[in-house]
Amino acid sequence: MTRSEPAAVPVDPLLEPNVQRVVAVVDEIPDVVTLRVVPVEGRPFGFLPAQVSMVGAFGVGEAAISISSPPTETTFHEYTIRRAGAITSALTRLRPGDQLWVRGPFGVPWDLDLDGRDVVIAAGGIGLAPLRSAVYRVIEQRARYRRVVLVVGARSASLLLYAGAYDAWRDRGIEVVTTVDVADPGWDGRVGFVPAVVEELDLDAGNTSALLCGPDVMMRLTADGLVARGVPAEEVQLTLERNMQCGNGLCGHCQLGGLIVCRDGPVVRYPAVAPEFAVPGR
Amino acid sequence: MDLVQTDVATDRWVLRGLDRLIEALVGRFDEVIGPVVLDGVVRLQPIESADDLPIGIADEQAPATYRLRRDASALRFSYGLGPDSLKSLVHPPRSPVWTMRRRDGSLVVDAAHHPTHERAVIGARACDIDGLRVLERTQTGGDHADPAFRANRNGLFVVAVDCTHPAPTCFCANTGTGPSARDGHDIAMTELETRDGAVYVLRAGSERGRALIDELQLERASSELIRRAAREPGVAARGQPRSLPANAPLIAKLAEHPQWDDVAERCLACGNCTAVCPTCFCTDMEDVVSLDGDGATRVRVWDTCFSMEFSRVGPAPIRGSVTERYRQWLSHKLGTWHDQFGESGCVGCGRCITWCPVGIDLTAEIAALAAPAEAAR
Ligand code: SF4
Ligand code: FES
Repeated sequence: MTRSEPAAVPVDPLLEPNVQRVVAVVDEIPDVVTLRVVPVEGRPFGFLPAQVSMVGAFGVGEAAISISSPPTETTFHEYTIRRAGAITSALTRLRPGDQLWVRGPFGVPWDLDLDGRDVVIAAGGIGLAPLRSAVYRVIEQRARYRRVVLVVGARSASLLLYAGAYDAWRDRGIEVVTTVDVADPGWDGRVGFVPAVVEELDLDAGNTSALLCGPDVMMRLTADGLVARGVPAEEVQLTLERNMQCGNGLCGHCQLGGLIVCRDGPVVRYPAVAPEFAVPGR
Repeated sequence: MDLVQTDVATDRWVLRGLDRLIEALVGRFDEVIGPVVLDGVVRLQPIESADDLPIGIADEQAPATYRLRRDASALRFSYGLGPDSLKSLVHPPRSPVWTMRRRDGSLVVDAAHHPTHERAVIGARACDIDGLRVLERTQTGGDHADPAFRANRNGLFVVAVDCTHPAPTCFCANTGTGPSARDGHDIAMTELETRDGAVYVLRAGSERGRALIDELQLERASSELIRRAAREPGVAARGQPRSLPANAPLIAKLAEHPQWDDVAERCLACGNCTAVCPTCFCTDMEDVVSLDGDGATRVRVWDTCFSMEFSRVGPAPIRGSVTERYRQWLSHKLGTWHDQFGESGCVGCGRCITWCPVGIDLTAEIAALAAPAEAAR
């Protein structure tokens, strides 16, 4: 038996970190910042709306963050990050000039081939972040769709994400409906949870498609409401947030029943998760 | 790893004692791993000669029980599985992913290199070899194969031994994964006790296994030995008391059943079962910062779905209760593994039963879950 020479195994680029530099930081709402980043070498990779990257802070770790910039923007990417644990705290402390690393993009994007349909986009809290690149894409290709309604909910008016952009989106043909759980004096939008506000929209149900992102319970109630009104369950897409340690389908953390969310999601159609969503703790 | 069909079907060789085989392995591989008694437990450890292997050892295994005792035999494999599976060789508890250094504000990455480490393991059991295949599918079967796993697996030369003394916690006859190695090995042997001591009937499972047998210039086995080798493992496995029913995948996916709370009352959420499982693959990432603060090594470490942190998203875990976490483990292992990877995650080795400190037995849990919820109340 001859002994084989030790051969180095080729490495998948998604397994290798790409070093990038922060070029701008926007404070969005309390505890939420948007980092604009560019690769130290080369150009940003292409991506589709709702795709995710593992974004890493030196010595701390990586978190899965969806890319929120326009998919047509080829010079930089933006990541909107909420400070929640050690990793996101480190990421949200970065300043222009600081370096981080990115592995991505991965995951199933929104299906935006919804020509001739009405599109309801519903976001709870920071759930608007994985939807923003979809909003940009819909604006860019606005003529493909009929009515486009964006419902954005937050606990209070000061927590509405990207609020400065809503008027510009309205100018481009998106109906933007805002709702808060608690109204401050002077608030003239809606009061109530996202599912209830979506419930009240006047819809052509059979011709409606929906994109949902927010806490599981918000997506479940919104999806159930839409389906009850006659929107086909298959036409309801949602994007799942789970603990992701690898993004490569290897670490097991992001499972939801039979789904490996980094591989089979984050965007799924409602029937794929409805049974799991009906049981808490899955 | 091409299976040499004709060899597997017909050719058998005989070896008296293991000295020559282990000498040959030690001469050819960077490392040879085999069963070694350590602190009263059979572990997988580096060995240098046949003398390192146990001799005349029997084991007692039961839920939450593992004990070794001496017996008078000259056999080296007269006991069931120890806690280490082949997982610890190809998917070790800690493995480096990369090192990053910070120099003048810039990050520089040194990707970990994964040279193929040429190793042989002797004494691998059939269920573990199948577990290796199941594990391999999780780590290399998708779009982003783990290079470290691949390198470890490619370098592994597997010498299997058929189980002639399975533990009562084993249920490979039921899962169809044992007691005799069918594929995935390079060489397989059956250990038989004869008047002249232990003899080994060998068969080749791959070209390189066959090449090693040829180099050792072994004698052909007699038809009497071949008959015994074909019969004895099966006879030994016939007494296995445990099994899973054919509908276990469905039962394990039950969302609501009072048995989930019942088992959660007993489960300590220690994660022993996931650590000893040959297919539990979940890992976490750790960043280990150097003392000067300018280097950080990313290390992949075994994790367990029994930990509270495992499912944390934002401020809270998704599976906060032990009920939810035990349910996740069992429904994944026996149920949703089929959805994710097209097969069961259980190979019937029974380690999770032996090594659970409170003796939780998944076959008994499935039996209880199979009873209608009303009857269980
Ligand atoms: S089933 Fe047993 S081994 Fe597994 S986590 Fe619970 S107590 Fe630990
Ligand atoms: S994030 Fe690791 S498997 Fe999905």
